Amino acid sequence: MIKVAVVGNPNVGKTALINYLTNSSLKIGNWPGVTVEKKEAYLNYKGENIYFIDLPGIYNFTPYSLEEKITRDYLLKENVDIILNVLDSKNIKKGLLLTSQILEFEIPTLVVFNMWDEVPPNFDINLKNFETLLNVKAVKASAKKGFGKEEILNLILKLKRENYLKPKFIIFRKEIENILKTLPFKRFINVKLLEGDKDILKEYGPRLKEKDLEKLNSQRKLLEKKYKKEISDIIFTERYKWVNTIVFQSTKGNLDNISDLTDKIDDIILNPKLSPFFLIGFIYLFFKVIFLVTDPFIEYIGHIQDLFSSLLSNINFGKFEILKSFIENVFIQGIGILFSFVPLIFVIYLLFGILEDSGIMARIALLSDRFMHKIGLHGNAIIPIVLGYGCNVPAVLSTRVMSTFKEKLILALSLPFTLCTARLPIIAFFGTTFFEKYKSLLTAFIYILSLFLTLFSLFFLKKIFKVESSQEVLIELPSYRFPKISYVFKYALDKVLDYLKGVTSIIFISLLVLYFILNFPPHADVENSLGAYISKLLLPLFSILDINSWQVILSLFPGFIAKESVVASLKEILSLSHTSLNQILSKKGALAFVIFSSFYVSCVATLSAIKKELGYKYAIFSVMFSISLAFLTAFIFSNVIFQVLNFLNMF
Amino acid sequence: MKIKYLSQIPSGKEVIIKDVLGCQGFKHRLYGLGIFPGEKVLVFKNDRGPIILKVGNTKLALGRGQAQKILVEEL
Repeated sequence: MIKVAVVGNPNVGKTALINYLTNSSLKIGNWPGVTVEKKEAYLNYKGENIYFIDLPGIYNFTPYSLEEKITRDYLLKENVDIILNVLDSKNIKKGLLLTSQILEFEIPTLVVFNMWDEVPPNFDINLKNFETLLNVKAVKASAKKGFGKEEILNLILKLKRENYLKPKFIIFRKEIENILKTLPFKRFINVKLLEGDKDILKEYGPRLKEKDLEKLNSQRKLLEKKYKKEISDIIFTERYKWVNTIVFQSTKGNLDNISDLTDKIDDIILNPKLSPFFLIGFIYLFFKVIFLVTDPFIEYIGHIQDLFSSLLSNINFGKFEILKSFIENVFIQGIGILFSFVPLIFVIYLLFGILEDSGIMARIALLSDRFMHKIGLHGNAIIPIVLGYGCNVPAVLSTRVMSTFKEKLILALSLPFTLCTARLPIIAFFGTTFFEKYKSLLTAFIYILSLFLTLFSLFFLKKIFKVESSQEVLIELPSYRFPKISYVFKYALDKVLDYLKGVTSIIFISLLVLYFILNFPPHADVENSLGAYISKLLLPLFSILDINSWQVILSLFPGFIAKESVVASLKEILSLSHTSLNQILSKKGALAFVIFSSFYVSCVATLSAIKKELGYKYAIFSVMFSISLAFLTAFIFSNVIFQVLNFLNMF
Repeated sequence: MKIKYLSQIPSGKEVIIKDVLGCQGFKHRLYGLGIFPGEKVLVFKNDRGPIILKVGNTKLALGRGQAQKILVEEL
């Protein structure tokens, strides 16, 4: 098998190229332990098996973002046979800057000038010159227009047959080369050792003799003193010089500032007077589409669940009647919960795919950044937060748009405070029962409280997890293009499967636990169930909130599975224990309960999404955190409001 | 020619990068994106919020604070 690592800047069309080369057999997963997407594909060409791995797009190997680390380590450690270095033909200089570093891995390299159809007619590259200067193979191609495929695949086979061409890396100035000569590793590692790269020094430094390492350090200091610059700066200067030489010697015509449709559209969309309207209009449209498309499906899945339940009720279990409610409450409900999110997740990823592929996402992030930055967040955070007010599950899954793990972490842990639509019935029910006159006011208050808690949580967690104040934006705005629908479809489908794999176990485990709590010991009535027992144990705690009935507390347990069921189960518990809400709960307690039940925990599906994105540890943290914050908020606000309203004689 | 900060350059002007200030990590990020002393850059938009540049044929958005660390010369 030939192992081909595909490397290049972001937005050069690597993924589309692999799809084109392998007839769309790209598989999307994640790199182990991190949420950076891993894309790979296999192809059998003329009897040879070729494996393509799409390494994360990068600009550099120097400051080491997560993406850069993955790409670097893969090239250093995974026995790559061939590097397929993809360049955007309109941005050759920037691409070559990375190429100059790729050559230092000393792996046979094939350079693909992708998007060749987009260069102006007066520009050309002399591939022969280019190949000789770098000792690589090179080819012009366009995945979009569909040319270059045969040539690329044949060159891969040829590189293998010819027993692998060693690329010619940059020869730096003499003083630097003299030091590099004394180092025993691959060129890439030697250069990084000289630059004093912390990661590489830690791993490869100990393999040098101690006196050699000391000598290297003193030589570095000496050179830096002489040039009054860091070595890495001197090396960058040489790289830029090399890039300019290569461009000069192997191309003709120029690529300066090609003004295209993208510029014209950006001129309008990024106009500061118009952009707020675009942003609001866009976000509105985004949600309109999501709920328009998914609502009928969600209803349909509800019907299927009902159908299974009624089928089940017709089966006679005889002695094992108890099994019936178990199957219904654990399996049928579990499958129902699992699949009710599938349409939503599919459509949202479909839209995400389209937005990212078309270049619109980067603009949304940029436009939101103008105000998101004021609250210490990146512009990207707008999508998950707004999504959260619809449903927390896709909101948590979409935190992958954040650039660092810590930013993703604090955002995902704050999202359960966004008020999803499933919580509205609780507010409506308690509003009607207790605060008839102020029902809309109560709803508005909970929404404002939700926004406040979300921001507070972000702010608080930022301190706890020591997240540096968010840096300013530094993003590329890729050219607009039509997204490839077949790819986006496959992407969304892969994501749905990924979701099902990641959350199934925790949903079923929670349902099992809940079933046990509510139905143990068997044949007992509600009042004597394990759940009632636990609720009664919790009474002293909840009495702080002026909630003095175990029935109300018990209804919080099913709310953990789905917030919608708080009201339904509360009604059921009340009727089973022959009492009414007004008798067992004060107005103050009701207010506290509305606040607490809105925020104490999102739901098991959200929690499983948090587990999937961040791991078990943070899922448990999330539960503890939201319960504490909800309790505190309920206590403070119910007291304050009650006092104020009492004073005003409004109750 | 007078040296200015990139943040002071109005929309539509072309400039030559003179120097990038700040920590090593920040400098290398910009270098990788094509912002390097001696390179030509077009200020596509500079009004409110982040500044939008064209480096080669890539459009980049960068925050004002960052633009204040880039020294340029107008063409």
